Amino acid sequence: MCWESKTFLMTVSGADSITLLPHQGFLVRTQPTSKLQATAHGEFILSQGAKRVGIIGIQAPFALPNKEHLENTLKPKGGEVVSHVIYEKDKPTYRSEIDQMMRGRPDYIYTNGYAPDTVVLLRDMYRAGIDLPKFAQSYAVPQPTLDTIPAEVSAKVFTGQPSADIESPAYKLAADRIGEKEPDGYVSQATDWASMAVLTIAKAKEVSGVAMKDNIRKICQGSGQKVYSAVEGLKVLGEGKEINYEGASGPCDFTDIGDILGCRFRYMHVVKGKLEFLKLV
Amino acid sequence: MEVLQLIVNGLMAGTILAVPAIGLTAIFAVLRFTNFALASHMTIGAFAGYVANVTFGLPAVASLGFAFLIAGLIGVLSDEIVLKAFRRAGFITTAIGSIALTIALENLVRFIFGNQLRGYNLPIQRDWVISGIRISPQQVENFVVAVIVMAALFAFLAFTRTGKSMRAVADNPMLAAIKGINANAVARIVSFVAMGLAGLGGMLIGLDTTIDPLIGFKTILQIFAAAVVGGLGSIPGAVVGALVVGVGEELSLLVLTPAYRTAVGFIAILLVLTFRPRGILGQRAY
Repeated sequence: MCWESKTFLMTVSGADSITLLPHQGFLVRTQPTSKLQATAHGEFILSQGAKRVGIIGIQAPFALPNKEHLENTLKPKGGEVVSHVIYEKDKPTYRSEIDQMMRGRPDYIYTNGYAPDTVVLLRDMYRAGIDLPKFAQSYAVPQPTLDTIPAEVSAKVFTGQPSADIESPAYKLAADRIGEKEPDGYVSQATDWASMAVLTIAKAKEVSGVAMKDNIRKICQGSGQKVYSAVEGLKVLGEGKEINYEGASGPCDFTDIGDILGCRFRYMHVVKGKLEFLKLV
Repeated sequence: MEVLQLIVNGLMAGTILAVPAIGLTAIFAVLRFTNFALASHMTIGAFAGYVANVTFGLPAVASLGFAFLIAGLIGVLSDEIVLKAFRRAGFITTAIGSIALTIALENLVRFIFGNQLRGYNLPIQRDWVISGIRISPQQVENFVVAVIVMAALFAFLAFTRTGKSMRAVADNPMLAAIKGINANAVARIVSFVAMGLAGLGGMLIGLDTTIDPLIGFKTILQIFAAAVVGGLGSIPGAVVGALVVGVGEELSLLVLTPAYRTAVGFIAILLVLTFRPRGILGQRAY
């Protein structure tokens, strides 16, 4: 739809298939792909000493790619995916699905769903007496969701998320601008979209989807002067110089099909029902 | 052992489904339309129970009563104010109107409580393991509550004058009217009891998981499948249908991946409508 209507789309979706669609350049995303994410998650899981990973995840476009990328990361380092169960959303219980997953005798559980189903999974796993460490996407167990379940249910839960580049000048500027002490990865991406849109329009001297498509890479990658905000970029563009926008979420450098080239990952763990920072990779 | 575990899981899930399924089928029996607003009344009941349990600190069982009462009262009001006018236009129009009503009520709950997940103030317990079969104490409690409520409802329908009036209207509205039974009063009682059961069912599901404004919407298809499979209009049929759908979904995991669970309900509807349109225990095919 975006190329047919010549509307330029910036998105947060991570499913590999998104940028494989025939978008003809009308799409970029600041969210890492399933491959980038699952590879990073696999390395994190290995760093915790896990060898046998059981995957239980929601039916979604990222379900199978995530499993494949996770498998590809674990295998060369002696790990393996011992079971993989895809479940349907909106079920009040996943007891039988958990039983299926546990038949592979995993020593680590990788959950891959959203908040409502992940809460059900965690409760059912606790009831079943499963005390293994569990990994979840950070959006699946945010603090407000953790507050709805007893602390013992969320013990040994680790979360990971694409992280904003918290050491970058762009992140500090975005934090001041938004008025938040620590904007998360998604807020950082959204502020980057706004900045890139403004700068691309200024570079193209035209407000249209086609102009955005043709010019976005001219302001956010290459050998131009590094800038960390739209205000700074507009000033440099006004002087007739080339720019390279470095965002709050990361470098905002895109491949030909619109994927970002890389980003950082932030890992947390749950201690007595509260998320605590673990490491930034 | 695996099959036995799946059957136990299915029976537990089916029993909880049976409570709102009875509500759906009771409304169909008396008012002759499928009231999809049952979904939002499940949500209302779940949130009414949440207020009673978390805000007022009432125990879960007392909160279930609150869930029944509030959902039942709102059921009567929504029927009187919204659906009664639709009924003159026929059952399809009324059913469609009930979909609009459920969306409106669900969004009202969302407006008041927000979108976030909420949990009841209940300790969580490990499963009991009996001869290798795992059963959750919470599921057993929910099962017992559901069975008691269903038994009370059957007793109400069988032994009380009001219950008999309801059955009379369901069986033959014209004859019931000739005998002097007030159809409007019966309609209000049915709306109250059915939506009360929906609210109770919503809270029972929430006790085992968490609640959000979509809790009713998520389960309405299973409930509809249960009512159709059992025979729309038959209260014992709703119970049988819910157990068939609950156990069927679980046993399907022996041959299907869990991603296709919901298909079982639809396959059951398809089979029943093909080979026995009135449902397993239905008297008539409406």
